[in-house]
Amino acid sequence: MINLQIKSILKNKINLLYIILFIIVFIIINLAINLPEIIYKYYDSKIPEEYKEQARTLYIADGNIELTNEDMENLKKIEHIQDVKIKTLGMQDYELKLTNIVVDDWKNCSKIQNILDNQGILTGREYEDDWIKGYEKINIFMNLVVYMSIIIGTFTILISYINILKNEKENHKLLYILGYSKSKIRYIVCTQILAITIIGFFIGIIIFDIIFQYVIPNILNIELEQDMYKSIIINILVTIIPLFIATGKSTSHIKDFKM
Amino acid sequence: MSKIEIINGYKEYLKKKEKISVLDNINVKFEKEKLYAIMGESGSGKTTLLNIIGTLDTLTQGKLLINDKEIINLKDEEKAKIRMKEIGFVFQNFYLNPNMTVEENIMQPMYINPEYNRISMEEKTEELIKMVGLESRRTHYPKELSGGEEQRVAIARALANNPEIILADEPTGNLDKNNEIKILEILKDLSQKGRCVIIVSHSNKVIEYADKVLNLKEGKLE
Ligand SMILES: Nc1ncnc2c1ncn2[C@@H]1O[C@H](COP(=O)(O)OP(=O)(O)O)[C@@H](O)[C@H]1O
Ligand SMILES: [Mg+2]
Repeated sequence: MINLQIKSILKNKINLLYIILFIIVFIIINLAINLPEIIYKYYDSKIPEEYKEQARTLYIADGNIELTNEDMENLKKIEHIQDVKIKTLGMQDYELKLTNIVVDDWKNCSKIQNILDNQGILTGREYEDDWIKGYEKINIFMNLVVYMSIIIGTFTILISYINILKNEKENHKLLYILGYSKSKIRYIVCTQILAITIIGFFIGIIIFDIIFQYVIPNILNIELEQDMYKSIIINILVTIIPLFIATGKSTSHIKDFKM
Repeated sequence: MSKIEIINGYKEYLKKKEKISVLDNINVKFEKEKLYAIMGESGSGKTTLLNIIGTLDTLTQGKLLINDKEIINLKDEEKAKIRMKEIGFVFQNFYLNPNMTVEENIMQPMYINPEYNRISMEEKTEELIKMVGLESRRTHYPKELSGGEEQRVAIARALANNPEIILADEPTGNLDKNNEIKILEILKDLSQKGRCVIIVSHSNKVIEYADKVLNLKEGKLE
């Protein structure tokens, strides 16, 4: 039964357009999910290798602050802080003590600076160049792009679902008249929708993968790593939420079907 | 036992808070092995009556019995089962799935009938295709068929689960004279083989084939 229903919906030429639309939507959504990684890796590649270590090191700017051992242990407990070191610079007749805070990654430095700032500890960066400043500026904008892409993608999927089901309404009505129960029709509706989505998803993911693994790394000369866990969750959510809304809407009036 | 019985049946619709009475105290019995023609002007309530008999709509007041069993209080699932097993529907616009072949359209109701398995489904489909004379059209799509052929597919589909009741709403309304006669002959044959066939129409041709003609006028059936 379900094979026949899936075949029927795929035979409908309009639905081929929806598959193409889903391919595009899934490419965009997955690019959006991974945009932070792409931007970060790109900026990271612009920081000279010999400054990488310094780029993730902060120093306490106020010479009057002296940290006890306990203070240092507490600082290390903060997420992203890897190490707290005291560097002693030997001057002619006195020693200058500098406290360095080593962060796990340069991209987290400004976050740590904010946290410390709130605790009254003013810090500066050992190394700061235009690239790092540029990254911080683009970061806010980038998050906006990510969220907007996912939200617009979800809406596109929802509206597509509603339209696909509107086109299928006559067939579902026929099934109801022929004696299919409401729950069977709901099952058919969901499977038909998922069939179209899954085809779009897999083709979209393959194209995205080529772009993400080969095209972008070659153009920008970087290596990229995918956040699988996050990707899977977002891809499922952008499908499931519209599915619930659209099938709920389209199966709510089945009972009113008449000749 | 009557196949179908309506006792003191009323049907009203609410239109802009105004009640309009469509069926007004209908009392009627439909038997097996008979072909009924329900005549009436457009808007007289013929489709409404078929919807009610077909469990797709309910009486505002009164009783509907199918095989002496009261239908009104049944749950949706049970009504669906009655439609599947007891009733075959034939429509004016054929109502085939345009994306399924002749065979697939005919098979559609069989999938929900637990009495069929894969093999008996195919056998039954074959039998029905032969019955309506569409052997050479098995894998054709509806758009490749003529109106008369489409309606024959629809009749075959209506018979998929061996129902004893056939409800046809203006089945020849979109057909020419020759095809009209063909379809009416098939329906007549079905009634002679033991089914209860109810045809709604405003074409007088049906009267020639009917065992009983009923007129629906101002809510009354006589
Ligand atoms: N769902 C409905 N709501 C309100 N009025 C309806 C509805 N369905 C049918 N009617 C009215 O009931 C009357 C009978 O309609 P119908 O049974 O379709 O007539 P027929 O099939 O004889 O042409 C018409 O006046 C129509 O406007
Ligand atoms: Mg009508």
